Amino acid sequence: MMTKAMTRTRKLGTAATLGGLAAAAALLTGLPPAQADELADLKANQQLLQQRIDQLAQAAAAPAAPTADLKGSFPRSILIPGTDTSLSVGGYTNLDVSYWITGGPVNGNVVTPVIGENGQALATPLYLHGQTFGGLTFNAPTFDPRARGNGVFQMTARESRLRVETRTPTPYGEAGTVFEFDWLGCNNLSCNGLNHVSNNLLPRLRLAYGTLGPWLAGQAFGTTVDLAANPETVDFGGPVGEWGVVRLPQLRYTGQLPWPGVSFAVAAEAPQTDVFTPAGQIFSDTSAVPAVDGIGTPTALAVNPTKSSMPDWPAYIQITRPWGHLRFQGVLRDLKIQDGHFINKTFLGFGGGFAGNAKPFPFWPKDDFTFQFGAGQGLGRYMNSASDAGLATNFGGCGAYIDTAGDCAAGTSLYGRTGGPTTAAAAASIIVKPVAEWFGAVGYQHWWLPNVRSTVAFGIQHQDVSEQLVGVVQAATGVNKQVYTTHANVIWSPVAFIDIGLEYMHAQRKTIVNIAGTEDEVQGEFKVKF
Amino acid sequence: MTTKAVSGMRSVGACGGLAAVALLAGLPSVQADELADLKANGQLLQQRIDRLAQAAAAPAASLKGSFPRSILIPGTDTSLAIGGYTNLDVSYWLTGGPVNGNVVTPVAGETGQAESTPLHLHGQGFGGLVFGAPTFDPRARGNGVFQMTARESRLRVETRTPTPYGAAGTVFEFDFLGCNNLSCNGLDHVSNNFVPRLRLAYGTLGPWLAGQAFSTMNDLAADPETIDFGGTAGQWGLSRLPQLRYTGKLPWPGVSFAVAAEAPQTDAAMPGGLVFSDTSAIPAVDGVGLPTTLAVNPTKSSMPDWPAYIQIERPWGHLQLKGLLRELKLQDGHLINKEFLGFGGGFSGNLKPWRRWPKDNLVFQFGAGKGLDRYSYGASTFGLATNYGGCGIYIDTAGDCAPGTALYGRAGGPTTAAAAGSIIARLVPEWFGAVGYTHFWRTDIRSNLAFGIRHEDVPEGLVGPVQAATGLNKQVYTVHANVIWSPVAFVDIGLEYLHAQRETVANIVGVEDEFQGEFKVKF
Repeated sequence: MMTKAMTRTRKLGTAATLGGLAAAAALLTGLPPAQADELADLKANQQLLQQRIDQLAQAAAAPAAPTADLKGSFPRSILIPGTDTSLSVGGYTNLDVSYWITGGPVNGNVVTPVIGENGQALATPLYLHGQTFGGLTFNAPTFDPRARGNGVFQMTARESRLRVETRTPTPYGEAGTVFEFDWLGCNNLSCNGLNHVSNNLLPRLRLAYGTLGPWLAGQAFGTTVDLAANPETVDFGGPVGEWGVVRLPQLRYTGQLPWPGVSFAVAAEAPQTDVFTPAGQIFSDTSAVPAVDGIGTPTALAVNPTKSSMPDWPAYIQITRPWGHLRFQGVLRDLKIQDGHFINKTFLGFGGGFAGNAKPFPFWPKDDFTFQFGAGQGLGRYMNSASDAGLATNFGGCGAYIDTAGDCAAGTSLYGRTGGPTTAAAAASIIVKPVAEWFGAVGYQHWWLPNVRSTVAFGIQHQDVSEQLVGVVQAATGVNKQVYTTHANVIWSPVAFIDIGLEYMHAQRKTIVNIAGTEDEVQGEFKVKF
Repeated sequence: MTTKAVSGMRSVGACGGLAAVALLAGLPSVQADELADLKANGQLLQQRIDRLAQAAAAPAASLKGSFPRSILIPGTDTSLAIGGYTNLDVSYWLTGGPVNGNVVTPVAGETGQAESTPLHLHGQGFGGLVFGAPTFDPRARGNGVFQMTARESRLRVETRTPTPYGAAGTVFEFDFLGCNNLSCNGLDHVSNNFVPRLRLAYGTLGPWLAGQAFSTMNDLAADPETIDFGGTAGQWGLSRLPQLRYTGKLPWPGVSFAVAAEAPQTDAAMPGGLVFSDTSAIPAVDGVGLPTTLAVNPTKSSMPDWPAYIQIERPWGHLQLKGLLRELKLQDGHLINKEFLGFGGGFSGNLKPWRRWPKDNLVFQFGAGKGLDRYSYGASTFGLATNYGGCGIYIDTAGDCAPGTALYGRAGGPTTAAAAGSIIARLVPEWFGAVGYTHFWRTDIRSNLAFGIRHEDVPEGLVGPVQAATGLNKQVYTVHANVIWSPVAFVDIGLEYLHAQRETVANIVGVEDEFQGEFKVKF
């Protein structure tokens, strides 16, 4: 638009100049002797022409203007010449440094910078010291990871992020596209032993979505994720107890309600049936092939019985005010267990809660208080956590366990276990129940100086998984009943687009039978945005 | 460009004249040599103003690239474009769906679920074995499967630069459809961490193309438009591979040709499964790698494949005639050393059949050959069939050998020259074709109807009854019907129905029925 407007101005100027020129030239060449009124005419003409030339000179003297011509419709974007589309390429680089005082990840993938939620906090080594449970005794392994979890140092740039975004006006409202990548997606297969030569990390897709007016389609942050209600932590994982699913494919409609500052959104999101089994946690998109590095259906299961038949249905209503915002949200989801033989069960997972932020103090106008809470049954992954599930079942379990590896006593295998019974009678003993869960997180950010800020954050997640269904081994060492995290940091931005920060983190997880693992960690970051 | 250049020139002329006038106005009496001076002066001034005006007019134009949506990199002749699209794909299977494992959407047809949809096994006897349905039957669970994904979303970086040798260009393109079982398991739980895969990475200099690009045998203008990323069976493939290609003009108007050397692969159907020359020698993980029943991977590639086409372009569409030669080699480092010449050819094209519906389009393609395999687009094709590593007698549907009947090439089997003498390899004959029709109901609404079929004749005596019954597809066909609405030029919203059927060598069938929707925003 701007380009066009300027071009038009220039053309107008040109046309006027041209007119003047024609007149002047005609006068000049046509008249051999110069006369007084003609001179006066010429002077008048000259003034006109001078004005035109001024305009021209202005345009010429402004090689600055052309750059402005290509200024896009949103910050740091470029207008693609000849189109209405603005394009930006951005992101940040980040060096993350972690040091564990207790409960660190000694070997395997570089966990940094995902320490809290979805990171080490969910899997930090347990304090096993001969607790007995369900007839089994749980001793620390001979080579105890807990005894090695202190003094672990890691450094990584995995959180660094690249983003490509476009926006284009259309008759249906603004259309946009967003692509975003980072390098946090590697699993054991792609991230082992990387530090030895050159840290060949693979990019992972974060965002890939398009918008047209009120519609959003593609992989985006979950509809129930409220980024403005999440505390700022140096730890990429952040506190537990936040709303998920973080990023997933969806079709979303966002609209305004008739009251000022009140909006709503409803969406259909990519489903997943998630279940705790005696052999471990599996999902409907877990591959049917045997486990490799913990990925895939556990070999103890005869089949992965989970299935998804319809999308999940999240929705929220949001109230935005000068002091902050408040959002009420809920989810309905269909969870299905169907093994292609005798088992065919469907459950309705549901849950809801709220999220928001408030700027509590007029004298510290940038200080910010954030909060969120959720609860439900079969809500599963809508609590942001790698260690949750919507259902629990004894499918593929044991009648009696003989060791802490989860082996069955002879002849006690249940229906669904590899080599176990497959009769209708055996199938009748299989029970599936939705898991009840609640979770919440609060954070407070204080600005010491315009360029120095601190955040303290606390989060907790809790789920009630029946020990009788998932069995003693999962109950003792597999499934977390409760996890909490505490973060405290200070971040300095010497220039607006640089963050240099230091953070302390304390976390604890507790399995179903109250065996605990504790983590203490110091994390630093050096982030340069562009 | 043109407008701006012209307007610039006009301004210049105007200013030159103006300068003259300014001088003129300053002089009380006009004299002849003064006029001449003035004219000379005027010319000088005109030149200066010329430059000034150019500088003023140029900037906006100067960063406009040489091809649509591109930007000229300041200080160079190179135009750069960043583009692609985001896509939400939604699938619902009525039958034959993929219940667990990777998100298959949007590849439901060819190279996707259609090639591996669960078979209707119900105690068929074949080769002395009985094939019953598994206890936990995937076919009984394949109905009512819902998936959603943005995996097809695509990012592209392209440059073009004029050179004395013609235009030079580079293209990079990525999407997220490349994940295997290892990187795509359980992704939906937290954040769908897909890994990008390379689609295109090639450069051009005048008539030469070098790098990973669409195969020379691919005719994208002859492929039907489907929402299903996999598309119809029976298209010319393989999709993308490393190559060196020369494209030129023939002396007749609108007639061009291309010849290429393309990255080779020897692919063989064996009693242990499909094996490629680039299959890793390590044991199978998630179906990737060499089957453990094989003593060694005997396939080898020694020279590129040689595809070529001649294309005729006319106002009504185009026609492409093409052919291919390829070398296939089995050499196991012991007693087997066999070479085969694979060959095949066919045609492809499009046609705008109706004058009253000028945007309507008919596309068609057909191919046939021996050992052509992957050049008929499909994940389950193969150029050779062999009994290498098989059994004399099979005892179960897992493919185990009766004691003492293992053939040469099987892990633990005989390795004598006599045993090697019984190993046979043959080129697999195949034919395939696809047709599609696009009708525009309105300028912004179109529909496509497409049918595709692929057929391979695999000797069951070589690959054994287990592969013949449950492993290798003899024939696959797909039918797609869709309607796509583009509310604005760069947005596609569509819905499609797919019906597909596969038939293994032993005529055991698997059927797939699926609805697929898309919401695509291009940039």
